[in-house]
Amino acid sequence: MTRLRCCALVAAMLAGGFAGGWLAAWLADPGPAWAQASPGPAERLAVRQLVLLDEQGRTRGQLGMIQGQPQLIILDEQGPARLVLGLAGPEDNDFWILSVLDANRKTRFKTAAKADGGGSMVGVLDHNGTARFTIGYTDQGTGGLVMNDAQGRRRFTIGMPAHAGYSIHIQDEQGNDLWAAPGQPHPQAAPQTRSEP
Amino acid sequence: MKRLSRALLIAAVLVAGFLGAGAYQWQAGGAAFAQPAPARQVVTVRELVIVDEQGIERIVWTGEDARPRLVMRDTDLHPRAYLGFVPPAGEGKSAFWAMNLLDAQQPRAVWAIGADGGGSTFNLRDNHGVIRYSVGYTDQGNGGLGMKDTQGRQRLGLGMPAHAGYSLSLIDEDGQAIWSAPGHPAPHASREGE
Repeated sequence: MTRLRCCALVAAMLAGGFAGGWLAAWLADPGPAWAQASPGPAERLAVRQLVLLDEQGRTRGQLGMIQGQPQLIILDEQGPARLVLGLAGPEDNDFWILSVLDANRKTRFKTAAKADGGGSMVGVLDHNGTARFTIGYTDQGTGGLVMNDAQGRRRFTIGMPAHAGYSIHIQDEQGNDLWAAPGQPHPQAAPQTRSEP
Repeated sequence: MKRLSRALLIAAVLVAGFLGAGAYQWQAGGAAFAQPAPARQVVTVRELVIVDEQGIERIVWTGEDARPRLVMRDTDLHPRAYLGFVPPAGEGKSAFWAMNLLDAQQPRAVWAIGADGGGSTFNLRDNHGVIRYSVGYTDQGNGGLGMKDTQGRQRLGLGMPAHAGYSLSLIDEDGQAIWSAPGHPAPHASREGE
């Protein structure tokens, strides 16, 4: 092999190497090239799911059809979801919800509207998952505001029956009225007896 | 001999090409194979749409019409969750930043804060659109909690004026206070304390 041929071979191999590397880079990473080539923001992007990553590559946000339901989920750095907005629940009993969860995956705040229009509610829950404050309405017009103790026992109620007056009740551990207004316990809101206007 | 050296040249170039590709992959840490769709730092669009398996647009995140908003919809395209800006409903009305959960016809749970900072409120509505429970504050420091019956009549009021004591009233169908605290009937609970 002459010196000239040897040089040509080396040059050809170098060119081949660079060409192979460039081809691999182009095939592997077309995205940024598209993003940089775009002169302005795209009008519209349609996807099934959008995932937001932090600097470490951890998923911190999801927007999309998640397990078949439209949802927005914000996650903390350890992974659990901390905020969920969207459709949740089995199909025949679906709720549109906004939930805020703690680090132990316990829901601490929840708002829900039944998908079929059957009712809506807001609840605040403690670290054990016990509902401590709830207010809600049904499609029959009834509703109530309830505050529970740590054991989940009803201790304060504002009853809002659909076709009767409102009433306020403070109750003991057994559910007996310690105090009520306007003066007599409402049979539905507080079935037990004692009443002190 | 000539044919042999040409074949050798082609083989050498191909080997060099593969080596170059391999070197790129090695340098890139193999990320291209691990993640078929590499993450972009920023995606800039005017409107983002999430479609379900049937191609129905279930989530729209847009800034069109000067109304940045995220809207989740059911399969019939009724809005069911709304997060974003709400322009004034008419002349003299205020704009809001709001979050709503809706049934197929109307909002059922509404959070709103005035775009000008003038107040904030939360309310629950029944399936006829009547606001049954509301709590809110104005930028003057006044506030109140109210509960209404199915006809939209105020039946319970907890008044929270900025510079006076709180008061609580139960009200009948005709708007008369039937019970109040701290002690005397208050036709308008929020004013009685002042």
